Amino acid sequence: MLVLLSVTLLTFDARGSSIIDGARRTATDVLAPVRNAARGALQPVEDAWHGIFEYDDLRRENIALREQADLQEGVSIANEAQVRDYQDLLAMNQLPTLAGIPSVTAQVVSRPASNFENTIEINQGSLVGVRIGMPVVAAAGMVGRVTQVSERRSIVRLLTDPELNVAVKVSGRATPPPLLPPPGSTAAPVVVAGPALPTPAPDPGSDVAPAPVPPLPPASLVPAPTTTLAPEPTATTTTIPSNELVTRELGILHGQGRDRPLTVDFIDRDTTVQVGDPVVTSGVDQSLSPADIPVGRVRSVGSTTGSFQLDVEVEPAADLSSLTFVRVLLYAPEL
Amino acid sequence: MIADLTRSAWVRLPLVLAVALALQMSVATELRPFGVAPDLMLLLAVCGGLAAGQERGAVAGFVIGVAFDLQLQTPFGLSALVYALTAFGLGYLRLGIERSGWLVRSLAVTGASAVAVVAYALLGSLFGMTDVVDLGLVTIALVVAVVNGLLTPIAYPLMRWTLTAGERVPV
Repeated sequence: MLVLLSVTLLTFDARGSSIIDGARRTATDVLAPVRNAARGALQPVEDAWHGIFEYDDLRRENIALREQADLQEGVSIANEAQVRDYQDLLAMNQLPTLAGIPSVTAQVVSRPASNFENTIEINQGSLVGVRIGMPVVAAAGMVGRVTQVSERRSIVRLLTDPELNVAVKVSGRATPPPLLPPPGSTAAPVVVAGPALPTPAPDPGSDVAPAPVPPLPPASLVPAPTTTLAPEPTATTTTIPSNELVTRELGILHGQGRDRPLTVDFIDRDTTVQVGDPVVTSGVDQSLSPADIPVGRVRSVGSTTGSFQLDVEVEPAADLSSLTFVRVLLYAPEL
Repeated sequence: MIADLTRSAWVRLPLVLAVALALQMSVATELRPFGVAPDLMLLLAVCGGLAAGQERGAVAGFVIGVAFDLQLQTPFGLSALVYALTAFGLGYLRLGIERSGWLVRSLAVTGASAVAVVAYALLGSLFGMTDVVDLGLVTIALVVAVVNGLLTPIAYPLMRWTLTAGERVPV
């Protein structure tokens, strides 16, 4: 009888029962004060646990993060300037920008309680405007999407969940067939005059050219395979691939479970996607997420014989295992 | 079948359940040996079967599972099904185990917990959960089983008090 009852409940849930959804919301709200009390009372135990078992890891991570922060500082300043220019352009053309979307900051109050779910619970709910489907971001990038909302709490399904699909675009660099010079010839480098450009520190493990780079001219107008800045005394010399065009491949991203990379489907195998290429939300028509939220970087690219698409794995930008604060973008797409 | 639980059990079980749920949803989510969250609710269900026998244990396991399912985003009823079956199974075998000492009881809970975790993943994949049956499942099953085995000396007397109130339960 119990087995029958369980299977009945499973069937109702699979078909989308409002009664079960309502019961879940109520249970979340009812238990919240008890959980808060338990968490407060046992915080010293948690702290002791983390102190004993995670101290070495944190120390190593701290050193690595300091190095990474130093590397990123220069890139960050240059990128910020470019983002402002970009936002100005979007505003001039009356296009929506991420900066224009209101958001709510929320604290992560619970990590996954089961080993088979990829969700977190946050302490903001419908009272502040959170709705099902809204995207949730951390400082580094997208985290997931709201899947259940009660008055003061929400459940966020993480990107690692296989059931969460996100429309994304992979910004790669395609190399068009060279028009000039003819194969075999050695072209002289093009000298770009002007003030010196800062050369940001390279990002190890990334194939993406560090910003800033000058606007790329059309490939047909640039005969040389590379562009080299003039070696003037006051100029910094850098080499930038000039016959590459930025490509944006649209795909559907979904998770494969905890501690496993994300995958992107529907990327045509004839396209050029490389390890390190950035992946952002596409914001295509009727998408639940606005465009250009950073998601991660391409971790590996492969192809299966007989398949028409590439096997693209993505490393999420945000550390989904140690989230503390997140932002819910109060974004409601016009459907 | 519902009458298998005594009146005192219906009073005590919600109390124990509320405390265990609060611990599971707060502390257990943070203290993760090898990245795996302990499953205190499974521990209660298994110990319930061991302490109260197959029928009472199965009912208690079902109730515990439903309460846990209300807090999760996994298929509703899956924990109830697995916990009820596990408690029933261990309750069926409890005669030989109960007469043995705490070590055998702990080992029995360890084994039953591991089986329950694997069963949860397998049944879950039947009900739409994807990417749950992989090598990581071995780690989850081992950690949950060992932690539950270590906590049995605490959980078993608690569930015995909760479900049987000290009375002898027919095997």
